Amino acid sequence: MKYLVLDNVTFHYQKGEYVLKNLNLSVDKGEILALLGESGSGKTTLLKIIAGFLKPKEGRVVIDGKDVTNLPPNKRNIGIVFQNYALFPHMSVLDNIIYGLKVRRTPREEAIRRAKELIDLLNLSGLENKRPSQLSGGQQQRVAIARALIIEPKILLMDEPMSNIDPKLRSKLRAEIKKILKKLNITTVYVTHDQEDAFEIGDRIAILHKGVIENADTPQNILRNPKTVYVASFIGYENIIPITRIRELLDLDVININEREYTDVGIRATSIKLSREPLDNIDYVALRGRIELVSYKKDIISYQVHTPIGILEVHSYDGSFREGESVYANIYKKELVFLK
Amino acid sequence: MVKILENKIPDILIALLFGLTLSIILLPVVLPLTISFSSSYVITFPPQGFTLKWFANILLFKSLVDGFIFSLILGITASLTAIAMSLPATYAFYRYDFKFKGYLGNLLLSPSLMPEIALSFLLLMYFKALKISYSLWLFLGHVLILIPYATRYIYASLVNLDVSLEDAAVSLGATRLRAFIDVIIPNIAKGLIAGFLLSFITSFNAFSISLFLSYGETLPLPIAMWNYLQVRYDPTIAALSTILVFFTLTLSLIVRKIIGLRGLK
Amino acid sequence: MERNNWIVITLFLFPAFFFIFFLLLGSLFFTVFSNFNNLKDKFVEVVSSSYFIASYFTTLKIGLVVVIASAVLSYPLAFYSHFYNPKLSRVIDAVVFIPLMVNPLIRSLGWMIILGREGLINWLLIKLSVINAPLRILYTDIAVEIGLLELFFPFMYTAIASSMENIPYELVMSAKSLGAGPLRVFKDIVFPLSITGFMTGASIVMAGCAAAFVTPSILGGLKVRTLSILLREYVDITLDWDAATIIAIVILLTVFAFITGVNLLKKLLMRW
Repeated sequence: MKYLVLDNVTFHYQKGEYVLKNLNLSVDKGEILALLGESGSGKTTLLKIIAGFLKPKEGRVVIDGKDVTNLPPNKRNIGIVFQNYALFPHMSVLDNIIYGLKVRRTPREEAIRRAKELIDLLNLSGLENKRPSQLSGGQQQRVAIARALIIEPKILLMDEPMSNIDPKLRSKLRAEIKKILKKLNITTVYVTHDQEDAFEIGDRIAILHKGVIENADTPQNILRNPKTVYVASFIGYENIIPITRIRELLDLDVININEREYTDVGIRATSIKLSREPLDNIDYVALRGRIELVSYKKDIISYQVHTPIGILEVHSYDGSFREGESVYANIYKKELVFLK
Repeated sequence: MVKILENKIPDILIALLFGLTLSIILLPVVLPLTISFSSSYVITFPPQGFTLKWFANILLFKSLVDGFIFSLILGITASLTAIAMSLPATYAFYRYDFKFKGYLGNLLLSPSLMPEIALSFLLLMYFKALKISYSLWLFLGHVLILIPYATRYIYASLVNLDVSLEDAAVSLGATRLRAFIDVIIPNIAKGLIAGFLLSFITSFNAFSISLFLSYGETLPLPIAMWNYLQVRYDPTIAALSTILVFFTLTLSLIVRKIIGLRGLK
Repeated sequence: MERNNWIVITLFLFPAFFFIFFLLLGSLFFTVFSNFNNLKDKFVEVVSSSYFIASYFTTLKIGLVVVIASAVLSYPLAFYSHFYNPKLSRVIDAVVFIPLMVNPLIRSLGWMIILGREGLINWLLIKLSVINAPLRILYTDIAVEIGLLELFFPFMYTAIASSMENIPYELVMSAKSLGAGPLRVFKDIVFPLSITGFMTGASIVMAGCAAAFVTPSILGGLKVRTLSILLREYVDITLDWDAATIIAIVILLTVFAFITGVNLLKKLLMRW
């Protein structure tokens, strides 16, 4: 069920440059949507629009069926975990957490009771009377989450939560957060620029580029079938070849691909096998080439191979090929993706 | 041998300079204290005898006593007004971006750059021409020169506050006003108090600005003291100085305590 | 998260800026322009009077002396305490602003007690048989300069000390490792890099001295006449308010010119 809907949202600042253009996005109830984008992609602006701190020039924001576009942020019942956590430095952890209930005039005992539940859930017991400055980064993050969750928000927005966390701890924290969010069935929009973040935590990922969502799908689908050139290169397709160069080679008319729809073809470095004789296999297309460069990446070898369609990067465990050698680059047709 | 000397000479030199500096800074403040107990009727050094009568003598001079009370009230009201006006302006600088921000910022601090005596005179001419009520002259002049002080201290405590704090409060349901009260005010309390106290001290001690803008019977204390010195030169004024020194130094110690030594820059 | 809500911004800025525009700028422009013709005619008369010229030079001279004296005092102390003895730094910082917390009258009174005929210095010198008759220090230029030095020393010291903080300690370390003693470190590294600090201090001190009133008037008596004292005479004694306006404008222009000049010099130095 579509719980959060962004309908044709457009935004630009006074200067005129478009930050978001005709953006459409939907999130299901209980789903964690990872909004992945580089800095400047517009993800912060999108977050502010969902939260209500900015109003879109065109389009609507709909939450749980209700059009909230004109609703101010303090009426939207949205929980936000800010990048710097924004914990109130002059209040204790407990007071920070119950602030949202204090504003709603919830009786203090009940507020504390509900806070205690979240404190236990988030492993914050014993820290109730401490000040934020006395906490570690991870603890601050959990307090920020507790503070946002206690108001039972319709949507939880998380703005780059892992940016201040030690990289070694991130995976573990992500798993914990995901567990809690799933347990409480909270609809979440998780904004990040870190691919690992997005792929680990998102039920679906929306990749934002220059104000446009280029791809919104499950992590596996995005990896297997990126839709655009940007997305493909963003997630690590090493070879992106313009479709014109590769047309005859792949016998496009046979595969029935409409050339006008797609502009490029993406080939993973692992989808190419090197051999001294062309592989006699209909699943592969063999190209004659010459090894230009051999380099070592951790546990695999990376070859730059000069071929008629350009220089291809090939990853292999077979380290027997040398620079200058003539080889055949066999491209596995089934793993090709067509990109716009 | 030469090396040792080369190391010692600077030390001696520095010690001398430090001693000299310390004397220059502290002696003028300390000396009146010593004279205020002297029993001679004229101010001479060294003080002779010991008496407390000069302190009592202060009370005989209506101008001095009234001056003290007047300066107290003027200082408090002018400081509060200056803070009340600075707070929204400083907050706007902290929170928002707008055109001419640089120029306006300098403008806000400009009264402290102006020669006080020239300003005092120009305001005199201006107020006369505009027929502004006499009793307001001093007040307006003081508030004007206090605005930079209040602004500096409030801004210093605002500038380090995360802008997201207010948004966090708003996202949790608070109105902007509520967020301001719950989040901003507690965190700038120190800056507000320091700003208030420093403004008060500045107003209390201010001379040049009060010189031309005073009117009528009641004069602020510094002016009253100046008048006193025109005709008399006895330890009474020293005794009053002693009281004032303790008064203002106590206030400035409180400020130090609040903001730490190099606290707000 | 910002909102460029210009209504709110204007509302917040309004009280303070209205006040400043109305009073500061208002009084300035009003006083000058409402009386412009009168002032224009009187300008030459006032500026060329011997009173004025003497006061102007006195003011400049006193200002210059105080700038140099405060720099001479500040530099070694700032240098030494910042690079060699941080504890000293803290003591100086704690103490240095005391004069500002105290009423200028009290300070001047204190100097009267120290510098007067029957004051501390004369008492000391006579006691030590250095001189026989009391020296006349009070009511001279020197007395005023000493008084202003006390008042403005903190500003010069702070300006120089701050600029020293901006000198990366690595520079001093490498100089020391190459064998430089404190004097060389100062001459070759610290002084050139802290010149802008000195200039900032100089502009504050000079501006302050040009505007100072209480200290010169009490410590100078009737003998020393600075511009601000002249201003007051025109206002309270001669009651020549046009002349007073002209003096006030001259003071403002002088201060303004000095500060702008120093800023320009600083910019030039930055590039070089």
